[in-house]
Amino acid sequence: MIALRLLFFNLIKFTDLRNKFYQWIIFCQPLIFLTILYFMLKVNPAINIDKYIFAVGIISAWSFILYASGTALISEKWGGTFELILGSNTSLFRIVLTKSVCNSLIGLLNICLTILYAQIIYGFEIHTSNLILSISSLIVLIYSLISLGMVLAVLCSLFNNVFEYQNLMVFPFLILSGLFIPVNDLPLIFQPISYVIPMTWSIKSLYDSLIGIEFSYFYLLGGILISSFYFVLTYIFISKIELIFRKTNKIGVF
Amino acid sequence: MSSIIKVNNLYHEYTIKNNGKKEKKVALKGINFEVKQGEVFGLLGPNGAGKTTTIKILTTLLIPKNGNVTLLDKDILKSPGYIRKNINFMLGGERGIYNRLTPIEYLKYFSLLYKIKIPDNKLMELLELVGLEKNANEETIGFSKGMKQRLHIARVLINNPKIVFLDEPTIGLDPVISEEVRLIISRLSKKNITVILTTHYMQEADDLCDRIAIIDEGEIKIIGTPTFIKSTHSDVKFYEVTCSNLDEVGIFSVEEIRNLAIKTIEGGLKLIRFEYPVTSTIKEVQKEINQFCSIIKINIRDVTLEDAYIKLVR
Ligand SMILES: Nc1ncnc2c1ncn2[C@@H]1O[C@H](COP(=O)(O)OP(=O)(O)OP(=O)(O)O)[C@@H](O)[C@H]1O
Ligand SMILES: [Mg+2]
Repeated sequence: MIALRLLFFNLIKFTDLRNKFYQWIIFCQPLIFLTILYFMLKVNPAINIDKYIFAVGIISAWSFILYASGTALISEKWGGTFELILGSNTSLFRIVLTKSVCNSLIGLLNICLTILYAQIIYGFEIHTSNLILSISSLIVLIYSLISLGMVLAVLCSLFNNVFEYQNLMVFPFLILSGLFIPVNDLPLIFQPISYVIPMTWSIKSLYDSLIGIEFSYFYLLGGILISSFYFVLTYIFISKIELIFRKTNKIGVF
Repeated sequence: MSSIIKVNNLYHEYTIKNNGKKEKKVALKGINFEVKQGEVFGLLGPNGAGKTTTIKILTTLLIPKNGNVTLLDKDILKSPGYIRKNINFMLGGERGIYNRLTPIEYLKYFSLLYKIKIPDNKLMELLELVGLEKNANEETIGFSKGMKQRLHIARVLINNPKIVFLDEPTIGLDPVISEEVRLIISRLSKKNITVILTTHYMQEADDLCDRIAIIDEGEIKIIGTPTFIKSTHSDVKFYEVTCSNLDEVGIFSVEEIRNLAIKTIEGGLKLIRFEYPVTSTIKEVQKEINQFCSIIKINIRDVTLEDAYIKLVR
């Protein structure tokens, strides 16, 4: 119950929708990509529009999570609140998890907003060959994004200047996760990296469910497993961060 | 009454980098003290003495390199969860506040982190206690230092703590606001909350604290009531003399006169301050001084905590 109230508080009070950059990502960016899509469709009516509408939504969701979850832990250090939350009665893991869940929910909202834009403004019709599987894939995608948000929160708190690289990370990650080109079409050396990214699995699963080619639960399950693995990993890491902080009074070891 | 805090041989060192080489820096050299329930206990000492380090260790934020600390009869290393639930702290200064939240929201957030349900009117009561009720729904981004520090005090009370740690709660505050903060702190102790306080203001420590420990370079120099600490330095009295025609060389040669300070004031007069052994009466001192100047006014004042402090850490 308290956990839900904490999540709700984060959603309402800590989601910074007055931040111009976030406004841009959430509300404007999908419009631009949808416009490109609109003209692509004009040129080539044969492309699978459903897949790309979701891709547009996922771009925005990912961009938001990259920045918002990435700063989840480090911003507490900057603001001098890190010690206060550490000294409180809620574990650091739970606080970061709440923030990551919150940001992923905004990401989901982003995807929904994109679909809404696509239907209302651009008049696209969206089809799925299996609604249940698409929704399941979407849920696993959100689960993956939460776990990825946790990883980002931890990484960004360890290295001082990760933010300089965040801009560089936006698109490579999306390409590697098979959002535009199927992972199997990527150069062979990149493919292992792709499958380490939790999103890859649920994106594949989502696309399969939309297009209606033979759906394999392998990817759905893979997405759940690899994301869960990241949860365990970040749990260990956050406990470590807490311990190191309590020993040295410093966050970040690099 | 049993002790709510027991600190035994507390030792801590930090690892610092000097010219790229790792070095150990000792912050606490094995300190001992106990605090009783409901006491206001002051930690005084110069910059870098180890006050904040002590507070961070006692609030489970820092793991000491050596020594034992029990709070509420629980070991800080074995039961940090229990301790965190029952204590709270502020680390002084303006940081540690979420700019976009209002005071009410800020308190609500921490009530969630402490897993307690507090109705809004109770939160308002806390804000009233620190005089922020009128700003309850204002964004904290425009708050002054004093407002932020008072908000911290309200936050500190959110979980009904048995012990509160206040690290320099009046740092950077103007005299009026400082006085208000002191009033709030003295109210806490009336509620039987144990208060551990650090400050650089001796008068404040004297007014608020039941007992004081003076730390210097990681060691406790003295521990006791303010009266006791002052009494250990009552071998001298403090004189302030306004005079004219001062023979500066002559007065410096008097053996009994210690810590002499001379200041020129209006009309070419001099104001001299010094310490003189208590064994001499004011008449005797007057006679002695008269050899070197014409006394216009002579004042004698009692030892303050500041005098004792300066002697101890000099
Ligand atoms: N994180 C840290 N890393 C390395 N050294 C530290 C760290 N924190 C404190 N120190 C050192 O430990 C010693 C004690 O510091 P501490 O902050 O406890 O002093 P303090 O009594 O609170 O001083 P002040 O009155 O200035 O607040 C100082 O020499 C300080 O330089
Ligand atoms: Mg300090």
